[in-house]
Amino acid sequence: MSVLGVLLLDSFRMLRARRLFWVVVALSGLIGLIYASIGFDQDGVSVLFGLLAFESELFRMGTAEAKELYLLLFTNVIIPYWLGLCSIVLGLISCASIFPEFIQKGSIDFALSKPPSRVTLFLGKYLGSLFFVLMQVLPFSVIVFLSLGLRFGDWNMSLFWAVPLVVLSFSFVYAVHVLIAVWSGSTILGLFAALLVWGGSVLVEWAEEITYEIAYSLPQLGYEPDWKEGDHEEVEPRESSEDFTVTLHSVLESTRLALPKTRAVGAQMRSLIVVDENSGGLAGKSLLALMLRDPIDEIPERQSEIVKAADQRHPVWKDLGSSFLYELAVAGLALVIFVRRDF
Amino acid sequence: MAGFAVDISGVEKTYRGKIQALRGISLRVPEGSIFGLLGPNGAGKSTLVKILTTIIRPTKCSGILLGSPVGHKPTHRKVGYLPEHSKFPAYLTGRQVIGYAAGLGGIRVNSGEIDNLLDMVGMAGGAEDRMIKTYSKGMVQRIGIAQALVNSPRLLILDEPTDGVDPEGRYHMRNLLKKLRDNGVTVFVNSHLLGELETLCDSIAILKAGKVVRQGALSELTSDSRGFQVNIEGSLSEEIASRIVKLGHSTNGGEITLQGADSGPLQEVLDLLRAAGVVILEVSRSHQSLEDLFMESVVQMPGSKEKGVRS
Repeated sequence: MSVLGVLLLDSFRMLRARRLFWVVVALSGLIGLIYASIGFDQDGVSVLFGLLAFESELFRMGTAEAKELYLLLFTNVIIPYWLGLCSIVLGLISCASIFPEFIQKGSIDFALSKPPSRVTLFLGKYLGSLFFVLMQVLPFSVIVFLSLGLRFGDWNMSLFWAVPLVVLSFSFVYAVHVLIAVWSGSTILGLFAALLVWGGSVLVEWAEEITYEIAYSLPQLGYEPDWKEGDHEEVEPRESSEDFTVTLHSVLESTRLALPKTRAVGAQMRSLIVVDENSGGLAGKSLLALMLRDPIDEIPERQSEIVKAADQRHPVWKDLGSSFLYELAVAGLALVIFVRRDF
Repeated sequence: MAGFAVDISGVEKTYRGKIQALRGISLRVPEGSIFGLLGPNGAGKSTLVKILTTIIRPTKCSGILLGSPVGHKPTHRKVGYLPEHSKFPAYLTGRQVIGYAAGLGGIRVNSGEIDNLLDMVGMAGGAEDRMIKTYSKGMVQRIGIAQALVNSPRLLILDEPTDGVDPEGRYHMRNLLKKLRDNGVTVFVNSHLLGELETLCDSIAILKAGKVVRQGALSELTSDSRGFQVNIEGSLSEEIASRIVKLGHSTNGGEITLQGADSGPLQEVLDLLRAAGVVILEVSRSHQSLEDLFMESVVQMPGSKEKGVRS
């Protein structure tokens, strides 16, 4: 077995020995099972494998809406909240002590005195942590895959995009933790820093999205916000707003570029996990798209183009690439500290 | 003539904050010997060991370890190391720690080889399959020695190896180290237990404030101060005692102590005693203990001059 394999095996043993790992896996399985337990019959919808039944004309076996509800739950609830948020937080808490424990006196001496280079040891531990999150997301994705397949005959392999994307998202946050943990040796400080940077970057992403809509989307749709009255008026459509929001958006856009973009990864997940053409079409749509959409009528072409432009303003390669560069820089700095440090 | 497993010169280490831990250490560890590194707290022993095992980067270092420059990672395939206060992953069993060490060393070991190692360190008998977190300190040390031996090292570096080990365990460990030495392994021991090192080491180095103050074969270092002790029946009369003191020796009741390895002065004293009709019960050689040597080396008397490095 290669040294990297030995380090990964060690990570697996470490995870297996932790109660928290099994709690997280159980929790993940439970969420998956609850999702899988949602069923539809001739009368309506049932939860917990028929334990609780709700009559519904709209959501019952064979209707497009039933399938859409099922997919919406996945794309609009499970992906952003469970996979995009809870999984990362749980992964972070579970992996928080890996590096601080590794660099403890007596423990690090043992590893550093062996032939593998410090770079190999660092990468082994880093990848081992990502392996943890993978072990958490994979069973969940399998459950969702099976439940969609068995209930609707939709054997959707694209569901498995969740695995690498959640791991990627986690790695953006985890890099900060590793940097601070290697520098300070403190689990708490590392955790705090990671959550702070993550929270900050999500806020920036969110603020950028809102300011874009105010600075560009609304003027293009012909709406002029009235900041004093808290209202808006309809005006001649124009390319962008003429007030401070354009400058503010520009600043936020630059800041966003330098930060990890976990929301963007979540959005990417929703676009990569392709839902069936026969579903109602709401699944995976942005809030703006849902707000503009008339439930009965089609979206006017111009509005549709503006929404599309807003959705596609950040190319995937740029978002993922810049986030990855960020991770490379932060984890690289942690690696430099680890390699140069006297333990 | 055998070569040196470790041959370093001018090793310096200055930590951040300008703390100078090592100030030009030069030492040689003969191959196939047991070498003891001694020194008071803060002398730089652990820093030196950590430099040899690549845990700390030296500020300045030239020399070789098993024929390669110090810090050459692949050479560590032939080095076994037991850290001081070792903390092996608590979630591993003793057997798994040995396997993990082998994996990091890039070697394959089978269950039988691990059993042999466990047997060698006195850990066979069931405990090896329990998690490390359930072990006593002495058991952890035994597993630590076993993992250090997993790669059949040519150089074994042990930092406080008997820390927490019971007397029986120490006895077995001493025998094990001697056996390894006899098989050509160089054993480098860093320890505070002078009595233990005295019975174990072929050569030693004493560090003080980041410098080597004594170095060489243990027998040579203690030979300078060999002396004799004469025990008589009863006590010396004042007259005889005074004549012996005039000859440069010391007396204490019925005990006469002579300094130096030369037996000439001893004959003079014996003649004097016989002439006075004193009954001589015993004449024995007295050796300076390692503790005496250590104290002499590290305790600086006010106004006295620091001893130079000897090799």
